[in-house]
Amino acid sequence: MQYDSLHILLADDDPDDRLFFKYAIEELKIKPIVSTVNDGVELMAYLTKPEVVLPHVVFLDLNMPRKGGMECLKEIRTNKLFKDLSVAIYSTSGSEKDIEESFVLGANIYIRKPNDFNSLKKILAEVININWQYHTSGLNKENFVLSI
Amino acid sequence: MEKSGNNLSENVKDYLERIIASTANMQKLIDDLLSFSRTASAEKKLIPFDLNSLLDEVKKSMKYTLEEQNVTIISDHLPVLKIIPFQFQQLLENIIGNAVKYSRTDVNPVITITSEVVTGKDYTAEGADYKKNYNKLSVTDNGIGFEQEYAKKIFEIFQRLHGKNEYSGTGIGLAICKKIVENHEGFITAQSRKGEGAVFNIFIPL
Repeated sequence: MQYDSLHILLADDDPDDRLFFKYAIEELKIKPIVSTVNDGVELMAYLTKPEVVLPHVVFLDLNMPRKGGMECLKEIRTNKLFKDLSVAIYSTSGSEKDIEESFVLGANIYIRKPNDFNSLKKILAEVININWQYHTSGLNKENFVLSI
Repeated sequence: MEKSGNNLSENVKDYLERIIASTANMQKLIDDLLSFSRTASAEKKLIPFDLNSLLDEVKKSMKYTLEEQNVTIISDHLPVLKIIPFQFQQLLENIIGNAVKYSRTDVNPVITITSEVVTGKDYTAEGADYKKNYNKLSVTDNGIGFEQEYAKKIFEIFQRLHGKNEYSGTGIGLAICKKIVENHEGFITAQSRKGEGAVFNIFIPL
């Protein structure tokens, strides 16, 4: 994978979280392309546009207006078009139920939104450096939740 | 911040504004969560209460908002129902509050409250007991409405249909309403079409 062309899509309804995400990415050595959408309905509309160039990784917030992250994950994993799409859950929630459910539904990694900017940078650097193919083939419940 | 506003760089101003907005949201979230948990744990003591005087109370406590937004409330002569008065007041305040919040910008909000007696067997799909009669209280507004597919979802906690920038809120208000109606062994439904106002129906067993 050409890292300078890595394309990340963030679906998050919180404007502050979207902003911090972009700022953190801008400060990384490798700068992927970042697009953002504001909720799950916008996300699915984006991904199913006929002329769309699919992102490599979708960062998916769970609690969003209209359509939440879990519903999106379900739709993404039942559509063959998205078989190569990696999904990183990106949520404030650390509840076992959410972790379990998103694992079962086929998310590739679970990230709890960090509370400070430096941890956010570290986490994003880590995620961008993941070799997704390798990561996904060896995925289990122990390495599903990313901790820095 | 307002005091030294002119001496701050644009960046810092932006951050401070975000911090202030976030803390206000958090404050609201704590208030709403407390209110939600109180509703869930409150003692359920039903007493016969005149809804007309309850509605007067609601209008009084929302006087400022109603006047500021030029809201008209039209209501039938309402019945006496066995309710938990302070909870029922909050129920009406939340629903009327939503009607005002999600009003259209081009017309003044008009809220119509009607009341009728219905039989449970017509509403078993919604969870009614077919042996009981219900008082159906309908609150109709002329606001922005929502798509009918969300009619159930809006009563779930933290569910919202709009971004925080468009309409502020914590997604708890209607969850409180549902809880309150359930405390009365009733049920609540919503109907709407986007852009065409909304109707909230509160069913209380007689």
